[in-house]
Amino acid sequence: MGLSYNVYLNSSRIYGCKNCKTHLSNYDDILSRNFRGQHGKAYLFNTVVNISEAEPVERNMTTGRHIVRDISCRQCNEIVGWKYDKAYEASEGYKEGKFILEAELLVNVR
Amino acid sequence: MRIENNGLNSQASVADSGRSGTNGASSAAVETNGNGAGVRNGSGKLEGGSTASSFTMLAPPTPKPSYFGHDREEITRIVIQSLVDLGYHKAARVLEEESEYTLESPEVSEFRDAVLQGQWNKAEELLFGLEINKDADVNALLFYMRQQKFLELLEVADVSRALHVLRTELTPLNQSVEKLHSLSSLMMCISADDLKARAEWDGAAGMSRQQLLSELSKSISASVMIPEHRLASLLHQVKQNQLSKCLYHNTANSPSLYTDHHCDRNQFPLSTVEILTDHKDEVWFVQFSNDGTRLATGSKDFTVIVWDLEDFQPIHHLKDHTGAITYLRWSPDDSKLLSCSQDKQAKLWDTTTGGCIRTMSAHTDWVSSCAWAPDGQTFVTGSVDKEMILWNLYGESIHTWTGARVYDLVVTADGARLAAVCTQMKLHVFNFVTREKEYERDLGGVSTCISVSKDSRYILLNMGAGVQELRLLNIETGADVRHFSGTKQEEFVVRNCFGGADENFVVSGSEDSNVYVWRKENGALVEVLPGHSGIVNCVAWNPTNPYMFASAGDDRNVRIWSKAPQPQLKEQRETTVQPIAKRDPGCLPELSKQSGQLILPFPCQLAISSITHSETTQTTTLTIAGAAPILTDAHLGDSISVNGTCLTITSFTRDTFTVDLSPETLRRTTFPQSLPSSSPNPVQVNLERAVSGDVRFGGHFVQGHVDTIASIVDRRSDGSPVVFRFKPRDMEVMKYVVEKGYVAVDGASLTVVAVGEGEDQGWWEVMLVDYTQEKIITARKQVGENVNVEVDITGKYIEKQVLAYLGAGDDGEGRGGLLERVVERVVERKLSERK
Repeated sequence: MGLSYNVYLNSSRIYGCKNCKTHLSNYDDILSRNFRGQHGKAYLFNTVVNISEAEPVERNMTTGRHIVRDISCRQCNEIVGWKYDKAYEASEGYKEGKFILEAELLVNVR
Repeated sequence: MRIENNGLNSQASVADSGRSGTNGASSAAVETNGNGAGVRNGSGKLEGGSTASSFTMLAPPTPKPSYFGHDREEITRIVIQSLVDLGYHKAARVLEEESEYTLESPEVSEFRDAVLQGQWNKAEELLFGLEINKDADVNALLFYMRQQKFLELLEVADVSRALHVLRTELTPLNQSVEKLHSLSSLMMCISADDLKARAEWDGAAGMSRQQLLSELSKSISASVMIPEHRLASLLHQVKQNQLSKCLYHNTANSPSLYTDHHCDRNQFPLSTVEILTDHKDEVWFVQFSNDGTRLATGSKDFTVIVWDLEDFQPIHHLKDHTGAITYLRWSPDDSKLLSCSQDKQAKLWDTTTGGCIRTMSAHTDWVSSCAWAPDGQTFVTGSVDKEMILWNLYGESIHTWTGARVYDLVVTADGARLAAVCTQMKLHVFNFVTREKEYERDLGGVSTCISVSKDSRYILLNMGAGVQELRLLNIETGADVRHFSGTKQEEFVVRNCFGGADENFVVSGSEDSNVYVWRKENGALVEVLPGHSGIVNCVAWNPTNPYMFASAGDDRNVRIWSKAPQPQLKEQRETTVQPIAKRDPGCLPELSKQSGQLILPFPCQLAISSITHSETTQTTTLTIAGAAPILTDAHLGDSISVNGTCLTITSFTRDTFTVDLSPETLRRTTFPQSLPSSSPNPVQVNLERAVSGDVRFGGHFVQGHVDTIASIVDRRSDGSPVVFRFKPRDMEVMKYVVEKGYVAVDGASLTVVAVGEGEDQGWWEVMLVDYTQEKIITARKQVGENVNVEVDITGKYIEKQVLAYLGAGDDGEGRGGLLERVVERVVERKLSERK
């Protein structure tokens, strides 16, 4: 589909895809650092850009059942984390609509 | 420009017009003193005799007729002025005599002379005698005149008198203090030349007096002193008006005054004359060479193709890039081509050999755009990595502008400016020579493309998401001049260009697959051109041919648009007609979907308009009229189901078509060989087109191969639905008719509600609900009339298989079918086991 450019973020600390350095999110958008993914540490972000979302699936996480979708860098199609669509436990509801990016799959770009 | 006044008649008439200010009174009636008194000074200046001598005329002249609705006096005076402008003084004089109008009253002439000769006091007196516009600032006019006087005095170094003028004449007028100060500072000038330079004034001997006169005359009532070159300015307005109305204006020539100017739509490139399909992925860029002989296209397939426009064949395939091509630029002399790519490199190619001369790899992200300096010795590349780099032809970087992530950039043709648009929705304009930034401006939306006009004065921006329009800006001020809307542009890069002779048009691609063209002068949408499927990414106009432009799209095609070629009528396609009987075996059946519904909303309108029969070919030709709704996408050879009979169109026009009926068709169907000559009602038929791929399947597959005809033996109502009972002519078809099965009657798929069979007789019944009754002609048939019948083909296939297994041939003869053989084998086996 046509030529379209990646979104470029404007801040002092930007996280990008480890593979191709495409901007993904700001340091300021981190909501929590207390997550673990398949590759180790992961952060919960408020918004991310330049990603494409996969189909939603139900997964059992350490915190309970959730519906999540994997997100990948739109430039190189490498998976970078996932997005929470729905949390079955009420206490986990704060995650809905937010994104997890795995620290292993990110680099600092500036 | 002195015009002699001959006779008092003309004076009086001029005075008349001078007083009224308008020229409504075309009568040149000579008036008496009363009239003369209305004009100050005027009468004092009359030559010679008094108005009394006007009475020597025996009778007042009759009012002269108007010139086709225009005031005769106005026209004549304007013509006189034009003659004088053109230099035909003698003719002007003769015209004045003959028409008895003068261009200017004597007062005006004297005033003119006074100004031109520097007789300032006299000029001032006369100025008050002339009719001045009410809203004119008299003080300003006086100031101007006295300023001229002052400057002229300084020029001859008469400083004391100049000072006197300044004090006593200029100051009391209460004009701006700054002006007074600047004038007084001019007194310090050493020489006349210095004065002229400082004041931007060319001296008494130059044009300054003329200019003064022009300025003054603007404030004098137009009828007294006609604005200069009035005819020329009127004609100019007419031309502008015609040009602005001409939507397809595609020439640079000024229109002739002999005819009303109007450009024909057929002279505008509206149709696709070539489609270039060599690219293997979306084409993102297209540009014509500056000499208009070649075309370069860049694609997501990583290649650039250079085409020859004579035969539209590729000359070079440039394949060195390892990323999609985002941008291309021919050098000003067309000897080189620059390509920008998502592989973060820009490459310089030789267009004659197709080889890569240089690769510029300094960028750290996609190279988005490039532009040549007009001398072809340097070029700029821009990238979203925040840098714009100026290179020389050796691939050495000369200068870098840092800061903006650039989507597109241009260098003006005069080499003065570099303009770029960035991701932060800003326009940046730099001075290309000094490389300093001139200004930047917030655009309020993302712009994906910037183009510059040939005269280097205007830039055209494509605005994307949220704004979705094109904007024309003045490059010096950055202010919006005009908007052009209609395109769709949400997510992707869509590009634009100027085009047409004299760049009369603005063209853009769009995400809705159309190419949009507007008139640059007034923003009117000229054309929306469909053709591409998918986004039209880029457009380019041939710089040397105003009738050709190109567009590149996501559908991997590059379309060349030009003036419409001779229209090719669809009807002229060659096809051979085949009678129905020969078509049946072997050929693919034309499946027509029957759902009880006809395409045509008005069943009354389709009637056989004529039937002709040819004895030699034994073929009957049917013509059906009023079929425009179903002929919209018809082609020769298409199948149309006529009363359930699949027939081939042998010819068609906008709303009629003809089909041929073979003897077999005539045997099997209800079509008459000829129309009953005295029938008051036309013979009506059901018509349906063949099924297309995207419809809902609500009936059963009907082939349009009629099996037999049946007659209506009974018709009765069951509430509002009507039940028809049919009896077939050939009883064999009863085998295939089952209750709740399908039968196609006159081409309409109907459910069988009841079946009756017995010795040598059979019938079935169908029920037609209200809706069906409206839609098909069968509902209107009466007992005794015939219908075409096609039974469900599946029944026939099943029957044949069963007969094969049972060993009974079609004619009932036992032939030791499969079942029998199986039984035989089993029996033999059992028997042999027993032994």
